[in-house]
Amino acid sequence: MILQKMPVLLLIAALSFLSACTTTGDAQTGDASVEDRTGEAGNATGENTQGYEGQTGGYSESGMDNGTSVSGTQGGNGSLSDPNSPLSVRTIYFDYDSTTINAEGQSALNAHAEYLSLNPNKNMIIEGHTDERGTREYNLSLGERRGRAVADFLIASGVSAQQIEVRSYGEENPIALEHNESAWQLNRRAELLY
Amino acid sequence: MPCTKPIPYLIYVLLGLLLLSERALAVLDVEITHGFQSADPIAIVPFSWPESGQPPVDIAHIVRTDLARSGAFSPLEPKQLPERPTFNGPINYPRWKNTNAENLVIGEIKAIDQGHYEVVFKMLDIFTGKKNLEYRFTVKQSNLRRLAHQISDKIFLALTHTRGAFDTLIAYVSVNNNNSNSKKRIYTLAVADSDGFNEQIILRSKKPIMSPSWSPNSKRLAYVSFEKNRSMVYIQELSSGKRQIVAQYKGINSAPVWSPDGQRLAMTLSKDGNSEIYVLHIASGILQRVTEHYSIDTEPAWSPDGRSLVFTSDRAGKPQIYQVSIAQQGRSGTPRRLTYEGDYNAGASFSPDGKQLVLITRISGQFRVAVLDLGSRQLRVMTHSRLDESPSFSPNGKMLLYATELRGRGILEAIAVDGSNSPQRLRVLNGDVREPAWSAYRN
Repeated sequence: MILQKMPVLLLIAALSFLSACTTTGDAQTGDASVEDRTGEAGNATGENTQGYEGQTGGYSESGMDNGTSVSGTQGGNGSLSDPNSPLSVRTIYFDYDSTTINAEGQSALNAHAEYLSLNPNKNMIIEGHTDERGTREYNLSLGERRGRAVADFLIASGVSAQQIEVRSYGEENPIALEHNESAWQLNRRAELLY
Repeated sequence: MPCTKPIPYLIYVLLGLLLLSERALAVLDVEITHGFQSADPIAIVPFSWPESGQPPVDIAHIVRTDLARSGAFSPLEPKQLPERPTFNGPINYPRWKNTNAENLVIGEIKAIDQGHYEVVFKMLDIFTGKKNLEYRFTVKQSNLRRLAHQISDKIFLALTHTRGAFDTLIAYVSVNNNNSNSKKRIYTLAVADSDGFNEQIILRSKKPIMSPSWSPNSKRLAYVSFEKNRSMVYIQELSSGKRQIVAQYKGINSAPVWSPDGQRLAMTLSKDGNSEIYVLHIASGILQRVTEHYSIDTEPAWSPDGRSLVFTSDRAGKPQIYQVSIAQQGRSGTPRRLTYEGDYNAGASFSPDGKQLVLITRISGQFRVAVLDLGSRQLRVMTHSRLDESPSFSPNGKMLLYATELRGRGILEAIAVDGSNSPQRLRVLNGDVREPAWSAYRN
């Protein structure tokens, strides 16, 4: 396996990534607030009870445009932040009702697979998304199926399953809000988040 | 059949029942966009108000709008009324016989003390002069709108012999989608009266909210929130705002629906590899697996007897509706396919009598509301729109509520199940509205 042959220098580079990056996690809980119907009774138990405004906790990166590099990451070979690197492709697009990864997507994923294999301490969240057509809950499952297709491709290319997490947003987080084919094309996607 | 409680005792429990807040944001407004063919004409006179100015709530207007929206009635416009009799005043019946109305509703509202009102109304048969209904209520100002819906329910029951569903609630999700910057989106879960008034936000989040589902007693909602960056299932009590996470497994936690006995939640989880249907016993936390297939299985909905679920599955290649029997514990039955017409049928739920399903079907690329008769297996398409979603029956089985898209915005519409009216739009003043869920009866 590639991982075991990895030069020490790369390991160091990978560790420097780890310290330079912030990971997208479940840490923040401040993204929702409950309002009671009576205006009298108490707030939520155990959950965040503050107003949602002004709370910390960044939104997940799913609104990012295709090919935008993640700011704040640097070091190593500069590959993650290099706009000319194939790693700068962070969105994989799909045809309607399809989980097939096209040639363009495969070439981008090959680069990510190599990167993740060489950097076993790096993790990726794959967000699956659909267009708005059809029912929302079915689309949530379709989005997961797209995310899994990307994950399966990466794993088949040598990436450890432990480095990858699939999350689906279904049709809930569109890039384009219009109700036409050109918007739907942009929304049928998987986003790769480091 | 919906239950038909003896009516008069309601009068005495009204005060105790009416506990809603005074906030009346009225973000939704009903727009009657089309006329009716087979609807019964009825005359509803503006309720008299002995004081100067206007009463705090125009009860007759609310009743008129309710009855019109049902598709069963065609209330006379105020300008079509030949006279405006007071509650105890004389009635010139020959003039009323010249209208096409068969029944006449007359009422009065007056202030009795600080914040309380007395409301009386009666319904008279224009041809016989017989009094069909008469009631007297005492309510807080904040409950006048709800009282109007209860009056609509009484009139509906008296004239159609079916319980009215006006004094019910709807829940829905809305999002301010004014720009495509997803970081600025705010998702809200709201509850409103069945006509869209009295909207109250019960959850606000920067992340998507999905799939609100009412508990059978209309006191709690289950829903999906992404506030922790992935889908999890929550239960929230409306009166207190208290809530708990009931499913936060790896993968998808989605599509919660309450069993008719209120003890269980059917839901979709992908913790075992891909989307499968489970039943969660709420008190014990025990999970019962229902489906086991490599395809997508989701969107469960209970049969009214609680003994089976319908769900969406693409095990045959495209999404279709299946039914599976559910035991209190142990293994479920073998799923049986219910839909064969077309290549996309999804999001089904039962009518209250269990004889029909409402679902979304795709016809030449358009997603429309359709009703499947389980006896004849006939599929009746109800709408002409292209992006319909989330249909459900009213608790009396007479109407359908669903989301659709109009000029780029998500809106809610209601339509009579018998096709007697055109879609009635619930107009939204701001935001994209979606995923309406109709509550059960409130008492």
